[in-house]
Amino acid sequence: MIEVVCNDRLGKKVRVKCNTDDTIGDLKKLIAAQTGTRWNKIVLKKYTIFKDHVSLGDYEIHDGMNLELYYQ
Amino acid sequence: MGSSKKHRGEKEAAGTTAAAGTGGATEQPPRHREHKKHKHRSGGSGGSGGERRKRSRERGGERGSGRRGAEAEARSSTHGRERSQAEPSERRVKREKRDDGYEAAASSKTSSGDASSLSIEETNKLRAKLGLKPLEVNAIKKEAGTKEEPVTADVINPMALRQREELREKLAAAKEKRLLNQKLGKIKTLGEDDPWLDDTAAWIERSRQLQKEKDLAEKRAKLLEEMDQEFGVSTLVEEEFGQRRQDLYSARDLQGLTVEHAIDSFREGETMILTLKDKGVLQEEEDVLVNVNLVDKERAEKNVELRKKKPDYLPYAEDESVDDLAQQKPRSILSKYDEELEGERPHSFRLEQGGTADGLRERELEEIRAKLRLQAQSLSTVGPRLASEYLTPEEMTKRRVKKIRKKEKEVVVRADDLLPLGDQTQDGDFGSRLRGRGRRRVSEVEEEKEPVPQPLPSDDTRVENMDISDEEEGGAPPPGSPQVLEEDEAELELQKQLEKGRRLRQLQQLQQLRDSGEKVVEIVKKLESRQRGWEEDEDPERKGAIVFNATSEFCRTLGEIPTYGLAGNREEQEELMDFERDEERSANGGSESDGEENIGWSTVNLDEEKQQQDFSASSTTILDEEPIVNRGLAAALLLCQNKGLLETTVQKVARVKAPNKSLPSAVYCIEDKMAIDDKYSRREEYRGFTQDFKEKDGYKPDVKIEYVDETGRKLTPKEAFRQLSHRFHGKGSGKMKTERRMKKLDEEALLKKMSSSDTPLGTVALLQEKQKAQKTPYIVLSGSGKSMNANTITK
Repeated sequence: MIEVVCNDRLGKKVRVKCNTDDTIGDLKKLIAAQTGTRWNKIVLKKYTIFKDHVSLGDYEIHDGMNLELYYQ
Repeated sequence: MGSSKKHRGEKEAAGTTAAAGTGGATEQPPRHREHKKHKHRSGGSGGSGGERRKRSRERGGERGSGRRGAEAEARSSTHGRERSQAEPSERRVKREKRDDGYEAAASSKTSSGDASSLSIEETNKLRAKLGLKPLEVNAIKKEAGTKEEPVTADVINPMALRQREELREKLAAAKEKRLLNQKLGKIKTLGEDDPWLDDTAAWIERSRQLQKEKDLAEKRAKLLEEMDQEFGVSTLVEEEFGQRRQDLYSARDLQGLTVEHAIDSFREGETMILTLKDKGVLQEEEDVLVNVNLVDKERAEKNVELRKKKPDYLPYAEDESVDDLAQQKPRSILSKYDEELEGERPHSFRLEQGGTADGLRERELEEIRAKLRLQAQSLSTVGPRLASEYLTPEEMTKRRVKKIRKKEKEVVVRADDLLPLGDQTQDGDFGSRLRGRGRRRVSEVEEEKEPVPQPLPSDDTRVENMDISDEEEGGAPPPGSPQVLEEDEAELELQKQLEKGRRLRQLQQLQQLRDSGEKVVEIVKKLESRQRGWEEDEDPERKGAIVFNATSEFCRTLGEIPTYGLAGNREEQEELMDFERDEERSANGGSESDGEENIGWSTVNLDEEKQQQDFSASSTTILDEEPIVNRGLAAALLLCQNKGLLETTVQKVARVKAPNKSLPSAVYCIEDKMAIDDKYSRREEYRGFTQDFKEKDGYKPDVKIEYVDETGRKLTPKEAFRQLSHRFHGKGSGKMKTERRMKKLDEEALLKKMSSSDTPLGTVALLQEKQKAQKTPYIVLSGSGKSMNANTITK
């Protein structure tokens, strides 16, 4: 279980607990639950846009990493 | 400001979540939130760090503006945090829009940092709702990785790792060795020899052992046999063994097998090994023996034959329609494909008893074939030979046999007999060489003379006088001279009669073709004309039938000739007047057109008119009768014309007799293929007026063609031609030429500009001006003008 911090630099900062084998899509859903936007409107970035079907482990997203939160 | 508000909102939210987290009152009614926030905050802040307290205090200070902030925040709908401070109604409205999970999230906040976070249980609940598996709680991991609390990682001991690896390897190797030893332990190595090979004692021992075993075995066998004998089984056993010996394969077993070669390929004294031919496992045909070498040889021969490329089909090579055995060979179509379609059928023979084959039957067949071939007869007949030009001895003997020919009796032929013969269009016999020349057929002479049954003398007196060698001629005594004379007259008569006969025949023909009445008229006319004693050789066919004549055809298509007779070399029609001519024409035309059935045809009437004129000429005397002038105007005119006083410029048009009815041209039109347009022919044809304008006869225009150059100057012919030539060739003059021309033009212009009455420098004008200026009629050329002044001229 890792905790990922998502920050959209506009005041929304969210810490989400998830598993390493969760996909980005699941993470987005968790974020959406916490932030109140729709999950398909969220775009997560860390130098590259993360695709929904890839797991966090494959993206080497570890505990405590800061991800950028954008909206589309 | 916004940010501060946000911040405040966050903190408030954090505060509430903290409160919830600690207090456990997660779901608070929105209305009371504002009230309770204060309390909770204080409570919550107590629970959390001192930082919180500070913030809460700050929040308390800014409480007053909370409403304002709430309103402002209410406007920004996307911001979730500030909802906690919003008006209850708005909050409710917004809540409807949001997810359900949001409430849980909003109400429960973690204590860590500014970011909102859910606890593990909440997260698990959320995940369950979303359909994800719960979090893998691994406390150690969590502790190890976070940025805020870095933990020293375990020290990786490479030495230990290596040792472990080595141990593992050793164990594995030992295990393998053990297994191998187990396997190999069973096999004797070379080094380990049997002890008895070297050592005699051991050998002796071994041999003794072997012997013992043998004895034992024998004993056992004996025992078994005794037992068998006891049971009576031994005989059966023996029989079995015996039969197996007997069942060995021998030559007699080869009976009936086929050998797939021609029996001729086996020569005497030669041994050939035959093997069974390959066949499929499932094929249950009988076995066939072949010799491999022979098979190859046959195949090679077949290939050679194929490569020779003999013609497949010889259509005329059917001379062998009969088989060797005098039986009809079946003629099949496309026999070259039989092998392909039905399969190969090689020669084969069967082995007879004892596995032998002697081919006796084949030899017998051959003999029969040879015999029959000798007996065969060919149907082809002897070919044609050149006939010999000379008689053979056989034919010589034959010739002696003569045929006795009968004498032909001279039959007296009369005219009456001839009449029915007149229907025949052709009389085949126009004289016979055997009977002499010119033999008369109509012998009215005979009638006139005494009917003497003598052979008809030939007309030709020469023949009569000749010595007739031919027997058949018969002795025709030459008649005397008076007879000759008579004969001439008679001949004439004969001719006449013949003509008559011919005419009668034609009359019959005519009658078949035409109406009777008109025909009769025609005939009468003809007869009359004949009786007039015309010597003209009347062509009997002329009046009757249609005459195609090249000239008549041509003339028909000509039409009017406007210049006919103007040259004055036409004599026929000068004497007659128009109306007379018309009369004639109508009279002739009537009969002619009525007489002729084919309407479209017309004959040129020149001859007829000529006839008429002749007729008229012959009927009048040389001198014209005295013209009776007082008879009438017509007579007077006639007289004048005859005398040549009148200017009879009658249009003498040789009008070809046009038929009454024109050609039925409605059905067809003559297409002039020459009128097809091609640009070359079109270029050459002239489409303008071919005839002069009659009303403009006196018009003689004064034609003046002027050429101008670009400036508008009229060009001389030379210059005009130059211009044309430049235009035609596409290039003008060169540099020199154009310069010269320009110079010339300039000079001309100057010349024009030059005044005729003055010098080029305008001296006269200057003089005149000077005069005007000086007011004197003269100009002083040199010196000062003062000396010649009128005032100065004094005494």
